Amino acid sequence: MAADTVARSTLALQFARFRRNRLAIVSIWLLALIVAACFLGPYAFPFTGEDADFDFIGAPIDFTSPHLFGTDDFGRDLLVRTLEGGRVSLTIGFLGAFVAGVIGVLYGAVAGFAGGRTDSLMMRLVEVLYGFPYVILVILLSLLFGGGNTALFAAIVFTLWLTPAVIVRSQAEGLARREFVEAARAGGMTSTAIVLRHIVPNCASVVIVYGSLLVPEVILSESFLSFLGIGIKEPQASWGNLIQTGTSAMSTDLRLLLLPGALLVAVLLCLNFIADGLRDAFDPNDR
Amino acid sequence: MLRFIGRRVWDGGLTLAALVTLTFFVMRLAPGGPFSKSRKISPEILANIQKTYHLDEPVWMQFGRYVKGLVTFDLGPSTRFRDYTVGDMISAGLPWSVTIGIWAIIVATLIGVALGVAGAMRRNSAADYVAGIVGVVGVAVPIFVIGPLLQSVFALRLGWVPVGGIGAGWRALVLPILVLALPNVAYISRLTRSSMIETLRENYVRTARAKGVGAARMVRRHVLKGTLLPVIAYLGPATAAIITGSILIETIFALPGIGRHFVDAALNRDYPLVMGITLLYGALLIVLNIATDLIRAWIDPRLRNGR
Amino acid sequence: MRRHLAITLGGLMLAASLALSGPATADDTLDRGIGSEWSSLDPQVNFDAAAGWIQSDAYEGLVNFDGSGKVIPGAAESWDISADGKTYVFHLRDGLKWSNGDPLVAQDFVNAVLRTLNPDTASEKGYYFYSVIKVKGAEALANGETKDATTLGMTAPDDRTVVIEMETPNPHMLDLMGAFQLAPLHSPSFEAMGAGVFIDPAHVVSNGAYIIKEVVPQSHVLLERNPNYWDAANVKIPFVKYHVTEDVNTELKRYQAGEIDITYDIPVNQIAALQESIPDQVSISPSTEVTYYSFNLKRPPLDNIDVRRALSLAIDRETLEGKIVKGGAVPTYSFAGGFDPDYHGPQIAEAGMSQAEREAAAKDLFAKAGYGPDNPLKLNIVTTVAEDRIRLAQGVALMWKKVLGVDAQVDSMERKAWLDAFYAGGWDVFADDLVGDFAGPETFLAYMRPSADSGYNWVKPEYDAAMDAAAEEADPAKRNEKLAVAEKILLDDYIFAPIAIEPVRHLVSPHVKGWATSPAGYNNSQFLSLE
Repeated sequence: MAADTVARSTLALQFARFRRNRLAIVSIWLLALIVAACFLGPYAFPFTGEDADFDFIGAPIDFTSPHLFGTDDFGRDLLVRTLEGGRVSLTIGFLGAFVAGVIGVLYGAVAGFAGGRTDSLMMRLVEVLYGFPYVILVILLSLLFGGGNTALFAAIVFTLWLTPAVIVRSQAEGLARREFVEAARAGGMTSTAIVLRHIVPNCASVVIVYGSLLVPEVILSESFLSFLGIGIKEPQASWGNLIQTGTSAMSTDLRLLLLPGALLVAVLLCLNFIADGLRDAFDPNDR
Repeated sequence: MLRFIGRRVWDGGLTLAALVTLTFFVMRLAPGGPFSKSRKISPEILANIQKTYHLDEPVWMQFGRYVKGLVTFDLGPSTRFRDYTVGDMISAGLPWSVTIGIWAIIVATLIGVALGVAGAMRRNSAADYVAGIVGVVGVAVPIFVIGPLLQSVFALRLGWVPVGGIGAGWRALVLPILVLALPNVAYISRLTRSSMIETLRENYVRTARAKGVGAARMVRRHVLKGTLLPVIAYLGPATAAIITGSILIETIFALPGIGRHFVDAALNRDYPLVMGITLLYGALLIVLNIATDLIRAWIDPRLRNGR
Repeated sequence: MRRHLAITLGGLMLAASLALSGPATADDTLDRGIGSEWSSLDPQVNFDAAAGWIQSDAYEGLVNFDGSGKVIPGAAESWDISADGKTYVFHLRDGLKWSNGDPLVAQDFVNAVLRTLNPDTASEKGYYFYSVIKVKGAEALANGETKDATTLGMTAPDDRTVVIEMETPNPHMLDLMGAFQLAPLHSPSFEAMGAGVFIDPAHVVSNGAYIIKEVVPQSHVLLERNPNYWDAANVKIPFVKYHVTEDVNTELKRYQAGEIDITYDIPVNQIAALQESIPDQVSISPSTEVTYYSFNLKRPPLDNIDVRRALSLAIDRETLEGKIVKGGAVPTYSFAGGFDPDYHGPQIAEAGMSQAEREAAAKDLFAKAGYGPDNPLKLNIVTTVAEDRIRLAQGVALMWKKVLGVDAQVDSMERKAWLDAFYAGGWDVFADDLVGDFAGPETFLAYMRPSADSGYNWVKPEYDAAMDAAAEEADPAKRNEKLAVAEKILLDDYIFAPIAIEPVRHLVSPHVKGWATSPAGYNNSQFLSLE
């Protein structure tokens, strides 16, 4: 089991290196702050983002009123809606990347470890799914899954596990031939155990870096779908549909675009810097 | 080499066949149909229309009919655009998508590689930061925000280019190409930068440097070659995605490409159009991937024996 | 007509660069938006209102409509109506010509109807001739029971006379004799080239004020003045270009940049600002589309009329349309009224009440049925994903919550799934809408006949009887009275809550003169001019 300890200590080393990257650390704190605001913030208000206040329709920014950043043209509080939208977008982003990552890693690890027929058959399936145009796949899947917001989430995740699967497979293919795996096999370890205890942990660094890039991709993906009218549906807010509404009102009321837009850009920036930091940490030669 | 190409084409054909089969059956599982029971139309008329498009037959028979058509390059009639066949719709829209897509890729590659090289050569310089900012903006700000913004400035305020449509000749394509290029500029410049930094550290570069070959010549000779390999690998699938996936651009700038079919066809359950366009995308992806591999093998002989 | 993809792929880039050097739009062109892609330019097949504008410019029916929707002579200069109102005799103008110079004859109109009804055409428009108006023999032809063209009650005794015999009188018959429903068919070109001729500028033959000059799918249709049109001297604009405008925000920008003269729509969230800045250019008027919320009679407690009535009363339609949806729709309490000024509908109690009275009545009825804030009713509202529809549904849900304590959940689905959902029945409240075939009560009421649509699960022999009685009446005023009796039976059962009459919205450039509005939405370019 020596390989395990080695892997673990390099991981510790890498995180130590990561902690020295100031931009990445600031990004993590900022991201944590935004996440906390989105998940806890709405409880600080006496109304939810779906409550319409017909006496305050399209109210402007006014820090003395309960509607700090005003309301949208439906009388709903813009700040609360933006925070709630963040909750949805961030959940989709992180959960989506996580689920897609897990599926992709397991799929890729199994394929790479098994090799031969199984491998080529599994990878042929990935190739076929790659051949699907993204939008058509999302629409068809979300219709198949019943058409709601959960269906949309499932559809997005389904389109995202392919790349991690390919990356992990190529890693796993190499690992499967390494001595410690051979040793484990000789020692009578089952294939499942080998995949879970040796292959998967050794792919961790690649997957973490890729995963941190996957999160913004999922968030953007949802906003792209919102613009096409197939994203998260009203009354549920998401950054995607908020920005979409904001863009159409850009010439008359910039506020509607700026608040959700700024938060989205901030989150994407943070995630990018974190991804850069992770990459640098895992690949010391790069600095 | 020929054997390699032959195998790839054969593999691609198999993949396409699987793609066609999968799309055909998955699509029919979705609720609704091309001619749903719209409530003004009597059942008899609906039955008639279904019959005209062979939608009354069992699905496996429809599949057989479709495959038979494919062999003769007949993609079938569009159910949404009733005046046209799927072949008509694709050949009317594809030139636009290809024109915009190719230009966007060219622009993105030129700017992206230039920014990336500048950034890698002088790290933490002004050029590097500019590249970083472009990279971040290009990735983080959605096209549907940048597009309308540029329209407001360059078309409405300044009047240099039209807002949309194809009436104004090449000027109509300037904004769409730029907006479509932007996210790719971001990816390409980052890719170029990191792969160049890596190449600069490679042994053969160090050797060349130790021998005292001039810095500029060295970049041209050795480094650019090593740097461009991952960029080319990215360009293959990116070109397929750009040509077929310019849907936002086409919507915002009112251009008649094929991108919009990806959404409209699926939402209108225009089965033949969905099939046609999926096939097109799949085929394009496979062809471009093969082309990418060939170019890379040509640039770097080491890759020739690889697979 | 099958074109091979493989062949066309070759000249891809070439074609694009050629198209780019096309002629620029000049001032002699009227630029109009038509929203998403037209579905067809085949006049006997096209069922799309926006493509219908192109059709009305390129073709002329027996009658025509001016901007305000009034019936005016078209290809027919006059018509006679029999005493029983069942037979119409149209007299065509002398010397009518097709755009290629061929003489236009009465049989061309008969052929058009025959082609529409022919099952092989797979047209959705046959019902105009066997259901909306009941032309003798039309139904048998549409069903495929017979292929014998002589059985049709529409004939051309000579080249300048069209005779239409109907089974029942119908005062709105003339509304269906325009280009949208009854564009004549130029048989020689159609027989030579099939349906592909209608999109082929080189071969298409039409009889309207304009001819089709250029068709670029997903981009535009260019029309040019037809020199062989009988009234060509009075057609002022030489070219009309219909632009596909998928995105309303882009369309607005194109309008502001002067690229489009008349828009297809106005972004809802911009209406207020535009009404402030350019009030003279904003044209919003009622259409023939009515929005109503249907209740599922099969799902208790919605089988209880008190519950349904309470739900209808609790909707504050003025606030809903004026403050929430803000699209310019007109609140309504009737279903078939508000389109034909001569139709005075039944007395509707709700219409005369104040909103406070309505809400009080709603609460009483709801309590009587055993529901209220303590025992909340749970409902789902099924609507399409269009933004204003979702907004409307949310607004209704909020009002039900506020007044009656109802927990209403909005389920939005895209259009095809929404249509399927109606018949599947998985809904409590269905956000419904209906576009009338003409601006009169009958088109709406006929649609609601229990025998016409099973989806509502509404059984009411009295209604069918009342409608049958009205159908026999030839005098328009008396017929309207009988229709009002039927509408009362319908409204009194509260199988739905009428909400609003939907608007048509356009921005019309100050350069365009002669613009008028009507519910039917006819705005033929031949009556407009550019300044």
